[in-house]
Amino acid sequence: MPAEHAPSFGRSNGSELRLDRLVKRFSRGEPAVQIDELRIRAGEFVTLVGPSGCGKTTTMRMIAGLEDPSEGEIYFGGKPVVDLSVQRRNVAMVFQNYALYPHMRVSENLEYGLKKRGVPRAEREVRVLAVARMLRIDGMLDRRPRQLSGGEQQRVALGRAIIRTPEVLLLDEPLSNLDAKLRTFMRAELVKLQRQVGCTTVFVTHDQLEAMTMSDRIAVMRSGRIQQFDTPQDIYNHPANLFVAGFIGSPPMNFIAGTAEGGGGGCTFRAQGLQLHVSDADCGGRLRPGDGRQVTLGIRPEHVGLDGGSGDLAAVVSVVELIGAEKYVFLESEAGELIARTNADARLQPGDRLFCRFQRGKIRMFDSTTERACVEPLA
Amino acid sequence: MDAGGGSTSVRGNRGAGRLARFWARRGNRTAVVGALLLLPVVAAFILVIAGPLARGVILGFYRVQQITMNTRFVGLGNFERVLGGTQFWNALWITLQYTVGGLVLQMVLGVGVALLLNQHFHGRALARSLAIFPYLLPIVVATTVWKWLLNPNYGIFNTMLTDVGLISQPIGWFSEPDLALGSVILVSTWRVFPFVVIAILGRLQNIPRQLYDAAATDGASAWSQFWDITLPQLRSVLIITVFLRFIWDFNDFNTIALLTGGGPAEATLTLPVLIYQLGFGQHQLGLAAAVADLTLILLSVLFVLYFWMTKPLGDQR
Amino acid sequence: MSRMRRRLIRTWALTVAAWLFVLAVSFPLIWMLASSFKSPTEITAVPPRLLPDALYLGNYEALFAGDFWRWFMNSIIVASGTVVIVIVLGTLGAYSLTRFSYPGQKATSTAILFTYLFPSVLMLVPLFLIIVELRIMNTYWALILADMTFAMPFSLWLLRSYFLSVPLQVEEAAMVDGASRFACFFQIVLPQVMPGIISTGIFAFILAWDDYLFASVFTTTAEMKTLPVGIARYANELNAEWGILMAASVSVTVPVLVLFAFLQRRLLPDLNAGAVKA
Repeated sequence: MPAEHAPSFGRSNGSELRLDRLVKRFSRGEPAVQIDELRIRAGEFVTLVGPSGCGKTTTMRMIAGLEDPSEGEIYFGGKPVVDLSVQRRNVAMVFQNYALYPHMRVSENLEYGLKKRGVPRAEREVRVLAVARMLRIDGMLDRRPRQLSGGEQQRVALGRAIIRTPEVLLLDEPLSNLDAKLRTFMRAELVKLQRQVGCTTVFVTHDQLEAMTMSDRIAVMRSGRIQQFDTPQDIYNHPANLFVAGFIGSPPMNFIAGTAEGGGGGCTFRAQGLQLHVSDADCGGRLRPGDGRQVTLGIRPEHVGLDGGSGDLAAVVSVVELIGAEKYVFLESEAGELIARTNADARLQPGDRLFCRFQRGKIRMFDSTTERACVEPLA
Repeated sequence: MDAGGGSTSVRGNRGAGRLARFWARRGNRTAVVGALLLLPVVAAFILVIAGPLARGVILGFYRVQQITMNTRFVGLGNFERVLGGTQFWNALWITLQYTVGGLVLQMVLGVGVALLLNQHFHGRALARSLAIFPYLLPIVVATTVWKWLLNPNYGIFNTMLTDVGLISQPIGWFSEPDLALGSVILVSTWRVFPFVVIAILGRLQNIPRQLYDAAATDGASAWSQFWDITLPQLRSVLIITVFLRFIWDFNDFNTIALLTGGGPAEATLTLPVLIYQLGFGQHQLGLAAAVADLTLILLSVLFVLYFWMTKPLGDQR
Repeated sequence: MSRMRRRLIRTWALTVAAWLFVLAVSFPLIWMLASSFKSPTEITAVPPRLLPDALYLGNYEALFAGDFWRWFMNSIIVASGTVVIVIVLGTLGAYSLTRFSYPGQKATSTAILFTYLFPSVLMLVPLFLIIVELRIMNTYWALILADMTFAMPFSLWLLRSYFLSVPLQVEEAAMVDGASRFACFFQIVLPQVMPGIISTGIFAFILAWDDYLFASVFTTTAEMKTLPVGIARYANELNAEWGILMAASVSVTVPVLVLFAFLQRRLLPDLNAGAVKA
C-alpha cells in the first residue's frame, strides 16, 4: 500500500452508496424508517433533511453500522455491508457534539482510527500533519479537546473523520453547535473540503438552508420515508408534494386551498376572493387533468407581486419586516394569510390596501387530498 | 427411528435454526455479550445478598440448635412467640420514637442550616466543610466522643450545666431510663443532620437565579420568595430525604449499640438491637430471624407507600 | 447608601450566626482533639479546661504500643479487599447496565437500588450461618463477604451514574474509528470514568472502614478485631482511659479525613448523585 507523502491530502475513491428496501422498526407499528431505494453516486454530497424525528439520523446510523436495520440491505460500491460490524465498514462519522476523546490530545484523536487499522507510525505522523495543516489545526496538536473552542473542536472532529479517507463520510448535524457567523463560514469550508477529499458524503440536518446551500442532491424525509430526492434547484422549483413545498424555502411557500375546474391545457382555480385561470405554462409544467378537484395553489413569497391598482387577489398589509436587503410583507386576504418578498425600498404601511399578482410560470398546484403535486415538470 | 423421535429432531433442528438466526443478528449478539458482563455481579448478588436474604426469611420458620446449628421447622411458632410477648411491641414503639423524633430534629436542623449556609457570609466555604464534618466521622468515634462529653464523672457537659446551675448534680445521660432515648436521639441527630444539609444545599444551589429575579420583579418579598419558589423547588428532594433518613434511622443499629447497647432496662431497645440481642446474646437465631422478617414486612409496606405516593409526583414533571 | 449599609449589617449578622453554629457543631471534635493531648490527671481535673497545659503525647504512645497497629492493619486489609472486589465487579456491571440493552436490565437496576436501601441487620443472622458453613468465621474473608452486602449495591449504583455521564457518542465514534468493544472499554470509557471509579472506591473504603456491626459479630479473637470493634471494646472496659480513647478516635478519623480531603472538590456533587438522586 503506497503511503501518501503528498503534502496535499490523499483522495478517497468514494464508492456508490445504495440503500435497498431499508426498514427500521423500534417497536410494533409504523416503521421509524422505510426507504425503498436511495442511490448515492460515488463522491456525491447528499443531504438528508427533515423535521426532528423523521428518521434521518436513524438512517445515517444504519449506514454507519451503529444501528441494525430490521430489513433490507446497504451496499458500499456494490458490496453488501449490513453483516459487517461498524468497525469493519470503511465509514467515518462526525457527531453533532463532536464526541472527541476527552482524555487524548488532538494528535491522538486524529490518529486513533489509523492506529486501530494498523497504519504504521511513520505514515500516521505524516497524515496527521497533512490533515492538521489542511484544517489549520496544526498549531494545537498537543492540546486536549476541552482546551479548544467549539469551532476548533469541530475541525478536529472533521479531521478525525477524513484522515482515514473513508469510502463513506457521515456528518450528523455537525454545524448545529456553532454560532451563526461561524456556521455560514463552515458551510462553504465543508463543501470545499469534501470536494478535495472526494469521499461519498451523507449529511444530516434539520436546517433546510444548509441542505440547499451545500448539497449535490437533497433527500427530504418525513415519518421515515423519503419524500423527494433531487437537486436543490429542482426541489425548490418543483416540490413533489405539499410537505416538501412547505419545508424547503424561508419564508415558506404560500398556500391557498380551492377547487380546480377543467383540465388538459389549463384549469380555472377558485378560492374565496380569488378566481384564476392557470395554464400549463403558468405552472411551469403539464397540469394533470383534475376536473372539480380540491386543490391547493402554492406560490413562493418572491413570486407574489404587489400592486396598488389591480391584480389577482385583494389584500391588506398587516406587518412589514425589514430584513436588510429586502422586506417581508405579511398580508391578509379573503383567501387567507400570505407573505410577499419585496425589495427594501418598497413604501408599505400596515393597513395599506393593495393587490397581489402571482407571477405566471411560478404557480404550483397540489392535490389537496393526496398532497401530491399535480404538475408534471416539462422535461 | 420412530415417528416421535423424528419429530423431536425436526423440532430440535428448528430450534437450533432459530438460535442460529438469533445469533446471526449483530444486535442480539451484542446484547448477549452485554448480559454476560453482568453475570459476575449477578452471581455475587445472589451469593452475598439475595441468597442470605432469602435464607433469613425462611429461617424465621425454624428453630436453630445453639451448638450444632441444626434446624427444625416450627411453622409460625417463632412468630407466635414474638408477637405474643411484649418485647417486640415495646421495641417497635421505641424504634418509632427514635426514628420519628430523630427525623423531625434532623429535618428542621438540616433545612435551617442549609438555608443559612446558602447565604452570603464571610468564610462560607470553610463553614460548609466544617458543618458536614460530623457525618464524615466514623460512627465509633462519634459515639465514643459523646460518651466522653456526657460522662457523669468528668464529662464537660455535666460540669457546664452544674456551673450554670441548671442541674444540681451530674446526670447519667445514657443510664437514666427516662433520658437515655432522648440522649441517643440527640447524638444521632448531631451525626446525620449534615446529610440533610448536603442534600438540601445541593438543590438550593441549583435553583435558577432567574426564578428569584422574576419573583422580585413581580414584587414578591423575601418571605414569599421562600414560600413560593424555594419550598416548591425543594419538594422532591425533601420527600426523598425524609424517605431515606426514615429507612436508615429505622434500621440504625450502630448508634444505639455503641452508646447504650439497648439499655438501660430496654429503654433504647430498638428492633435492630433486638434482632442482634436475640441472635447473638441469647443465641435464638430463629427468633432473631422472625423479628427480622417482621421488620422486612414493615419496610416493604413503607417502600410501597413511598412509591405509591411519589408516582403522581413523577407524572407532574 | 443606607441600602448598602443594611446589606453590610446583614452579611455580618449572618457571618456571626453561621460561625457560632459551626463552632457549636464542631465542639465535640475540638474537645476530642484537646482531650487526646491531656495527661490522666489533667483529663479528670475539675473544673476542666479547654486546652491542655502542655502537649501530652502519652496517650498516643500508649495507644500505639498496644494492639492499635494490629487492628489498623486488619481494617486496612478488610476495607481494601472489599474495595478491590466491589470495584472490579461494579465496573463490569455498570458498563453492562449502561451500554447494552437486553431484557431485565431495568429490573436489575431497580433491584440494586432496593438492596442499597436494605438494612444490614436483616442480613446478620443468615450471613452468620453462611460464614459458619463456609468455615471462614473469624477470617478476613468473612468480613469482606459481609461488607460486600452494603458496599456492592452502593458502588454499583454510584458507578452506574458515572458511566451514564460519559456520552455514548464518544464510544460510538471510537467504534466507527475501528475500535472493538474491548478496546472501547479499556481505551475510551475506562480513562473517562477513572475519576468516578476512584471516588467510588474511596467511598466504599470509608463505608467498610466504618463497619462495626459485622466486624463485632464475625470476629472472635483479639487479633482479628478491626479498629471500630477494638475501640468500642476498649471503651467498655472498666479501667479504660479517656485520654487513650480520644487518641484512638483521632487516629481512626485521620485516614478518613485524608481520603475526604482528596475528594473534597467532588464531595458535594457525589454525595448527591450517589445518595439522593436515586
